[in-house]
Amino acid sequence: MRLPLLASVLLVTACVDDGWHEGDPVDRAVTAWRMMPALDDTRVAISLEPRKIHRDEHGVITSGFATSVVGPSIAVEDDAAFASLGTGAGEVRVGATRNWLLQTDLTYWEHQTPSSSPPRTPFVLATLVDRATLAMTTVPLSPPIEIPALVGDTMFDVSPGGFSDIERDIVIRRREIDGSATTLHSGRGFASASCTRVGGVIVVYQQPSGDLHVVSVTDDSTVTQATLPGLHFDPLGFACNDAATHVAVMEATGATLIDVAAGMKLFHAPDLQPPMVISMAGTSMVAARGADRHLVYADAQGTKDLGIVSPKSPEPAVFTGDLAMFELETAVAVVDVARGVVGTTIPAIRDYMYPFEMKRWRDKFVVQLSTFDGATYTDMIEQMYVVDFTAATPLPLPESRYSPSLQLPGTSTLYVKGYDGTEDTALPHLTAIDLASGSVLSDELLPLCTDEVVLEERGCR
Amino acid sequence: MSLKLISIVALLAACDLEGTDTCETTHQEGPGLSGMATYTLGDGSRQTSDLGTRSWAEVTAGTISISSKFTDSFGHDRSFELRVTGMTEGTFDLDGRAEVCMRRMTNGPDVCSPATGTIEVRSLDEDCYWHESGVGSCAETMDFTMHATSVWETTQFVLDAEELTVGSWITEEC
Repeated sequence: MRLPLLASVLLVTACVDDGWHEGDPVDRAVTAWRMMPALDDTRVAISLEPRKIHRDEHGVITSGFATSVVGPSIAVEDDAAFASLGTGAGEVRVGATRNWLLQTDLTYWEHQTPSSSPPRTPFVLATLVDRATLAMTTVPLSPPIEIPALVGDTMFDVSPGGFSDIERDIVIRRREIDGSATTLHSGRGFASASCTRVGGVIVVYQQPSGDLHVVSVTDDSTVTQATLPGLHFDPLGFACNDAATHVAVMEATGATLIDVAAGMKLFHAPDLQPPMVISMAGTSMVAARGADRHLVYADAQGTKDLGIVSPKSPEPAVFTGDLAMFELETAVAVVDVARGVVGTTIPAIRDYMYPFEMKRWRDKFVVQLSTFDGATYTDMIEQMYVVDFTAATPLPLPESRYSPSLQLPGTSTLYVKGYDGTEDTALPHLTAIDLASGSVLSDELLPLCTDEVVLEERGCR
Repeated sequence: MSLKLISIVALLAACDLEGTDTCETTHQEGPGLSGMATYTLGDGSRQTSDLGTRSWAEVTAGTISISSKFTDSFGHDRSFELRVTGMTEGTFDLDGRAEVCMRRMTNGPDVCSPATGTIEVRSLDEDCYWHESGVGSCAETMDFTMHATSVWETTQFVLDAEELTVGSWITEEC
């Protein structure tokens, strides 16, 4: 349909000034925060990145937004600043003995929605955080890290995934703690995809010859690779098992499971598509059937309908070992991917799942289900569980329950970020819950940058 | 999003101050855009877009824009825009005044490449009303034929398009 024809759908009377934009500040202070846990989970540092979001107005029209990083990030513990970091949008990867706080040099980006994550930009700075002491060491990254992939304590760097119209370099590098890099694999290709698992990193890419190349790297930097002739894959439909020994790729006709070490296809399952999860042994998978979105177990002998239905646009499945948790149309369900058996199922609060979260925790999952208030556009957490194959154990709900999000930075403590109300003056809290005992450990205000300082572009605090 | 795009979606109704409840609105007539765009990727695969569907042309301050989408073999859409600046009635070489912009990689930024070819503009007009609030609308008239080619690295974009739209302001009850 031509856009001018769309115009007739919406009529705006220009003689009415309802002043909807009045009183709403043009500039907002926002804090991007990331958790950096100590080894024993009793301490956690938080990085605070000061962002100012500006709304562009033309009369009553909002034409877009722009975010600026207005100073260096800082690290805090118990709301007390103890380190100054670099300036630029950042991310954290939690390793076995050290956290990697990675920062780009990006300090400005434009967007159409009121808030937005920064566009993908290479990381130029790493702050290594010792998980025993929370001591920090900052190093420049040369070359920059494109996509970080942390396995145990070994940081790898892989090329960006997705489609590419032109042939490009595909690399896997091991990153050293002094910021340097050692190239482990270098190739040329078009579409590519990668995954980071407990067992290692896998990169798959389409070679100029039209063949598919698969490379796996374990944390001791052992490289295994294979080429599969004539296999054309969709990089947006891709899965790896936890052992990082097998991959499932989506072709135009369905999903193909590949044994990387053997360099061979194990089987092709017609009409299967994401969400896809592969068993630890790599002999079976569970995925959605395109025709009816039923979740289907597939192995070399054939397929089996599990009798549960994936929604049209499901969240990616989360998995631990052979157990996977899938979003269904009106529930979440644990599936044993090795046996093709459905376990614990948690029904939706309403007739659809949104909003909810599911996280992997050790060999289990943590799930929260929320209600959504259309008047205030606010989620409120209603149910929270630790889930395994046989049972869902309720967790205590935080007192600050609005706009919740789950954080599992370490190994034993769940942090629930939630606001204590729906008003503009509501404050975000962090409620810490010990998952083993199901007890609330603490409820603290989430440390933030100071609004006034951010709005005046003087940094965080 | 440009103000232009926002204004097109939000059609202006100019209220009659004497209370007769009539409004001026834009009206567009004509077959609109037709033709074909073809994109050959570096791996030799080809994507096409029928400009008669999911496509549109617009004119803003002498810049003609054609927007459409390609769909790949896995069903993923990818938008593109061809812009030609400095347009009036006449026949023009596109060299130096046209470019094609699109994402060349998943999650990448738009990459623009210059286009060559010709455009014959038989009629071009935009009759706009802008309220001080920033809301406005335009009645656009476009009649042109364009043949464009754009090469970026190892890719090639080819577009052959016809456009005929006659725009006007009409009076109707609010």
